[in-house]
Amino acid sequence: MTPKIRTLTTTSAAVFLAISFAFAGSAGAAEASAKPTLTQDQQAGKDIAFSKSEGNCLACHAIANGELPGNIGPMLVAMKIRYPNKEDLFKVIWDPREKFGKGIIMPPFGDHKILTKEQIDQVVDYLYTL
Amino acid sequence: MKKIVPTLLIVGLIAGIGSAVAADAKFNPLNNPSNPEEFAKEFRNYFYQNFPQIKHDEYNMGTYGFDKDAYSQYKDMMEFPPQDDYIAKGKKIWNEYRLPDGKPLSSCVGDAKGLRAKYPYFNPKDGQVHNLELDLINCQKNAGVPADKVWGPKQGYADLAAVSAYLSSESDGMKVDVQIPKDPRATEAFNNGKEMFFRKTGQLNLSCADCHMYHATQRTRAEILHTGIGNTSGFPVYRYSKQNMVTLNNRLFGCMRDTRAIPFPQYSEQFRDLEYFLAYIDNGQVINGPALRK
Ligand code: HEC
Ligand code: HEC
Repeated sequence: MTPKIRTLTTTSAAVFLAISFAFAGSAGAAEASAKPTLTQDQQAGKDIAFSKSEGNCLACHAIANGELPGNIGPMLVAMKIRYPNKEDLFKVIWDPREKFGKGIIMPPFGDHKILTKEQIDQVVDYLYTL
Repeated sequence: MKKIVPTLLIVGLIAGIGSAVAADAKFNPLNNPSNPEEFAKEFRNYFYQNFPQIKHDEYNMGTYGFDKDAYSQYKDMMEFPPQDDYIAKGKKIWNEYRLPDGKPLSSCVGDAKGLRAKYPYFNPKDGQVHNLELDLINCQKNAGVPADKVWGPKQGYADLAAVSAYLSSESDGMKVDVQIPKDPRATEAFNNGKEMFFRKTGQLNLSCADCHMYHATQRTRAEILHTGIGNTSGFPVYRYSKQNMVTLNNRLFGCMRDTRAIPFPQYSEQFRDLEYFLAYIDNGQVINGPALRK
């Protein structure tokens, strides 16, 4: 990753990037079989994120290949670029109130023991593939 | 899939940006603690300002008042309104049911016409907010109906919901007109309900306002979130997905359980106060129950 990309932290930059990814994706999607397979942890994280009774992230976030996503939160895309430091991403999921204020609708998954530390690690691993 | 994925990405992004805007409007739930009327005005204005696309007299339709797709599905479901069976059943029960002293339920709560529109109300005698279904239950209890025959949240619920549907149809077209008398206990009941609406609860740390105010009109999965106005006007509602007539108390109980909180008991003071708050906000909306929801 170039230093230039790493400094792109504003929303508009992230959105621009995400859109270009989206277009890039339209070409790539043609060869769906070329999709990289997930590691065990990444797959576990994906299962948690998609499951209604666990993470249920799809209730609010669009995620690639997730069916019927809600549109309350921003789409989860280009996570590695937007959160170059894994720990920051972990923290958002553990307790989003720290970053977004206590009015945020997103549940504090770690702080309220909805997911365990290990599960959130797996979700982060998965988000990094997006 | 080839085309859908990128489209979804872009739609998701736009929607994501929109989401931040919805929550931006300034609103302070602590405003006007001693003046419900002023508060209700501000509360309604939040929606009028943020959702100019919703017509004032369509708030009583829930999500069908602003979502075209949902509305067309609704039209289809309404070809054969499943509520009608419940209204007929409820009417029969209402007419035939006798308390142990041989009297009908109307001897206890009054005639069917317009009865639903009198609820909820604050009763200065006991200082409590009264809910229609609970008053029917209390008629039975006070008249000495054996405990296992009283309509509760489980047993007899179908009969209670049918009667509720019938009574709602007998107030169809009337306006919600909830009074808050000059009694500090009434104001307190309203404020208590208001607090319940805005307080985050449960393991998921969600408030009613999170979904039905700050993120109203957005979607959780495929569910479109209705607004903070028109919560009560259509009740009871027949829910297609549950194939069941659902009373307001039952619905509020369900929404609270969904936040993974341990809900207050059904018909408890807390739920009646919440209903009082929601119904007062709905003042001026036309009662159009029993309504139909997906
Ligand atoms: C009830 C709604 C809801 C649920 C469920 C939810 N989120 Fe969120 N999330 C939001 C909202 C709203 C924001 C945006 C906060 C803001 O920008 O003010 C957000 C922000 C985020 C962000 C930060 C994005 C950025 O642009 O910085 C991440 C990462 C995230 N969520 C991940 C998750 C994951 C992973 C899950 C499931 C385990 C999840 N969310 C579940 C509503 C939700
Ligand atoms: C996680 C989001 C969420 C929370 C929190 C929530 N609700 Fe809901 N509620 C929904 C959804 C989704 C529906 C079904 C779609 C609709 O009508 O909005 C619904 C439906 C309802 C309905 C039925 C409306 C109708 O016209 O059929 C009422 C009334 C209601 N909610 C009130 C409340 C109250 C009061 C609270 C707080 C105790 C609450 N909700 C908390 C998501 C939520």
